[in-house]
Amino acid sequence: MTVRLAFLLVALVVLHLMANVALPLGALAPDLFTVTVLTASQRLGGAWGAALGFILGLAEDSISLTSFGASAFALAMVGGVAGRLAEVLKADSSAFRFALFAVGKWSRDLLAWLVSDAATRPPVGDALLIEATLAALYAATVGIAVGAFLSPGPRTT
Amino acid sequence: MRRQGRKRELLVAAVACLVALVVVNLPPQVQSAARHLIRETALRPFLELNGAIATARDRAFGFDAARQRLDSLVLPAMAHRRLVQENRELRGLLGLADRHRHRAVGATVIRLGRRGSESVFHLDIGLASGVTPFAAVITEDGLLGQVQEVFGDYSVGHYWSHPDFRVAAMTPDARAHGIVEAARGALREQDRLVIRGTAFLSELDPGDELVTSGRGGTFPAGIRVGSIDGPAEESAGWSRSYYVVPAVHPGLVAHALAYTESGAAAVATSSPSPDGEGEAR
Repeated sequence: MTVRLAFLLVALVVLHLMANVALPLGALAPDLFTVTVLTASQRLGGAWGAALGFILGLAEDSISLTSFGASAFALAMVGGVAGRLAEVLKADSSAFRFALFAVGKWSRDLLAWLVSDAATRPPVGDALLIEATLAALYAATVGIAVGAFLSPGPRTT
Repeated sequence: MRRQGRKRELLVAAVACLVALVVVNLPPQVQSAARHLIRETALRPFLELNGAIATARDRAFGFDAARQRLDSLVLPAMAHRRLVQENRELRGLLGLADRHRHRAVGATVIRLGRRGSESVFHLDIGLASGVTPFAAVITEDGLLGQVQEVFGDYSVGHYWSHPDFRVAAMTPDARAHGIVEAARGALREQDRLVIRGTAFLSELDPGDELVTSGRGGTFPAGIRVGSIDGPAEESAGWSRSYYVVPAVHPGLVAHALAYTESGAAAVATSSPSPDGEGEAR
């Protein structure tokens, strides 16, 4: 792991917590935790992605009152699968990375929705078809911008 | 060697996912303790910053509004004193006991905007201030929500927009009773309340006020909940449901009052009619 990558990952985590906990910006704030996990997965591998996803997911779940562990499970799964996918496909084009961020973010919302408490989760139409799709495109755009700070190449370890 | 590395990577990823699944299925008490631990450590600086910003914003922009509110309370407070005296005399003549006086303590509301937790708030007061789980949280406009978890110096609650929120409500003249719950709107922008189970023959009109009835022993009687917006549905001539415009919009609230006693105790000693008596610290 390069210093630049480590710095970027820490900065993304702090920015996410600033935007969502310190200054709750709501839907204006992109899901930087997913961007962090997917960036780590691509650069460091699925194990790092899954472990980081689990830890960041727990931090996110601690804010809520219900479904503790739902985000941890979703981010760990997405981190693990994204790392494997990036390694198998060995693609590093902008289009591939955009698709990976968008599908990764959408899958994270889908997985979190699936393991959430059925009595309190939002309806599937609202949560996955509209909100999650828009959030996925937003996260993918931010993910591409974040990737511009790093040198090209899928793995640094 | 490379193959072994891949295997190890896969194993780590699988273990992380499995542990996360175990966490999802932990008992609620363990989950609450884990949430508290994370909030008190990793999230503490961010939550404190949120509270400090909310307080500073309230102080910077709220002075004129606070002065106006204070001015508007002078005449009602003078009339109230006379009313209390008359009430006491009448109760004495009838041999009735004094009404229960509720206590509440002021708190800064720390709003969390994250998706999935937008119906959750933190209060900067906890056990040390006398807050108890399930205590009602109100503003000058009416009911904001309910405390769910209480810790040493902070507590966590949910707004009326949370899917688990329920409150027994009635019209101020006790003509219609029902249970009020959140009705989710498209993209959360149109969240409102719905009152279910009102008697079919007690028809309500748009604009009719609703207050807490005190039934169920959780919320004290007489807190404003909202006003009737229009009919939602009716059930085969037995009961009706109505949409309710909430009295309080959570996004605008930075300061609230939390009751500092068990709702059950308060309700047990108060009359079911709206009283509005109480004292805030």
